[in-house]
Amino acid sequence: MSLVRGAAARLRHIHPGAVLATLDLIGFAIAGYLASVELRGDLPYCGPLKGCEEVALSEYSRVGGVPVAVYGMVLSITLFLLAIAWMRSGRIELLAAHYGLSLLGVVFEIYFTYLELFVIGAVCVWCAAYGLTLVARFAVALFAWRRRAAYVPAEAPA
Amino acid sequence: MSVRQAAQTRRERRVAERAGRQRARRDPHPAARRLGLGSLSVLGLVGGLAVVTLAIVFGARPAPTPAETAVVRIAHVPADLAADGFVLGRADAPVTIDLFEDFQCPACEAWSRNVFPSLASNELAAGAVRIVFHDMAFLGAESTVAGRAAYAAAQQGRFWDMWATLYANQGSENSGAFSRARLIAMADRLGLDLATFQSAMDSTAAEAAIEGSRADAARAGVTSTPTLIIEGRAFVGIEPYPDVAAAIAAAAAP
Repeated sequence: MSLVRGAAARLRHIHPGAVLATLDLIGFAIAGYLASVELRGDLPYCGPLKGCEEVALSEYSRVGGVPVAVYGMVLSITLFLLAIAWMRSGRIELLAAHYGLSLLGVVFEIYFTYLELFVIGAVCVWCAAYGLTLVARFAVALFAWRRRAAYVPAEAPA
Repeated sequence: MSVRQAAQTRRERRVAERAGRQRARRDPHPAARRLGLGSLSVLGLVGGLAVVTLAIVFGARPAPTPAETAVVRIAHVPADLAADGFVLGRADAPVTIDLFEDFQCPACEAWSRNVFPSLASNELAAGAVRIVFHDMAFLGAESTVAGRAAYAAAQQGRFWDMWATLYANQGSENSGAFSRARLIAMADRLGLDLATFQSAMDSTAAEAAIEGSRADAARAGVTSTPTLIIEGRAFVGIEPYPDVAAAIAAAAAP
C-alpha cells in the first residue's frame, strides 16, 4: 500500500511538460510509421486486426495529395517542442499553444473517426492509437493549464 | 524614527516584496492574463473546424498526372471468348483450369504472353476448357492493390481485360507500377466507370474476394505462381503450351 502511495506521490512530482513531451513523441512515432509506409506506396501492418488497409487505400488518407499522417507528424513535433519549451521556460503562452493545438487535433480526430466508422467502414488501429494520444495530450494540457501557477519556475536568487 | 518603528517598516517592506514576487509567479507574463480557458478552447475548436473544412475541400486525391497515365498500356483478351467474372471460357466446358497468380509475378506475366494466347485461340475458343482465376496477391502491397483493381473491373464485367492490362503494365515489385493513379488510369483507358471502379476497389468486398482466393490457394496446397490445376493435376511454373494442351486433352478423354 505504501508502495502505491509512494508511486502516486512520485507521479505527482512529474512535471506535466514531461508527460506531454512523452505523449508527443509516441504520437510522432505512430504518425511517422504511417507516413513512411504510405510514402513508400506500402500499406500499414495491423496484424490480426483488419481495417488499416481499407483506411490507407481510401481517398481520405490524403489531403491535398499529402498523407494525413504527415500532418500528424508535423503536429506532434510542434507539440513536442512547445512542451519542452514550456517546461524549460515556464512561459504560460507555450502551454496555451499546446492546449489549443491539441484541441485542434482532437477536433480533426473526431472528424476522421466519423469517416472511418460511417464512410470508409473500417477502423485503423494505428490511427485510433494516435487519436488516443491526442486526447491524452489535450487532457494533460487542460490539467496543467488549470494548475499553471504551480509550474512557474522559482526566481533566481538575487 | 525609533528602532521599533524602523524594524516594523523593514518587516512591512519584506512582506510587500514577497507578495509582489508571489503575484509575479502566478502571472509571470502580461499575455497570460489575457488568455482564458474559454478563449483558448474557442480558438482550438475554430482551428480544428477550419482544418476539417480544408480537409473536406482539398481531401480528394489529385487526378493522375499526365506523366503517370501516358505510359499506361491497355490489352484485351479475345473479345469472342465468353467471360463471367473471374471465369473465362464457356460455362459448360468439360475441363476447368484453376489458375493461381499474382499480378506482380514476372513468371505469370510471361505465362500470359507465351502460353495464354495459344490456349485462347485453341482450347478456349473451341469451348474445350474454361479458366478460373485465383488471386494469391502475396508479393506485397501492390499485389493487393492490383488485386483490388482487378476485382473492381470484374464488377463491371471487364476482369479479363484488366488481367491482360495489368500484365502489360507490370514493373518491378512494389515500385509504383501499380500505384493507385496508374490503376485508375488503366481503368480509364479500358473505358470503365471510374467512380464505380474506385468505390469497388476500396470496398471490403474487394478485400474479402482476395482473402477468399488466398484461402482457395491454401486449400489446394498452392505455394507459388503461376500454378495451374487442371482437373486436380497441378502444374507449377510456366508449363509449355503443348504440355498444357495435352493435359487438357487427357482430362477431357472419357
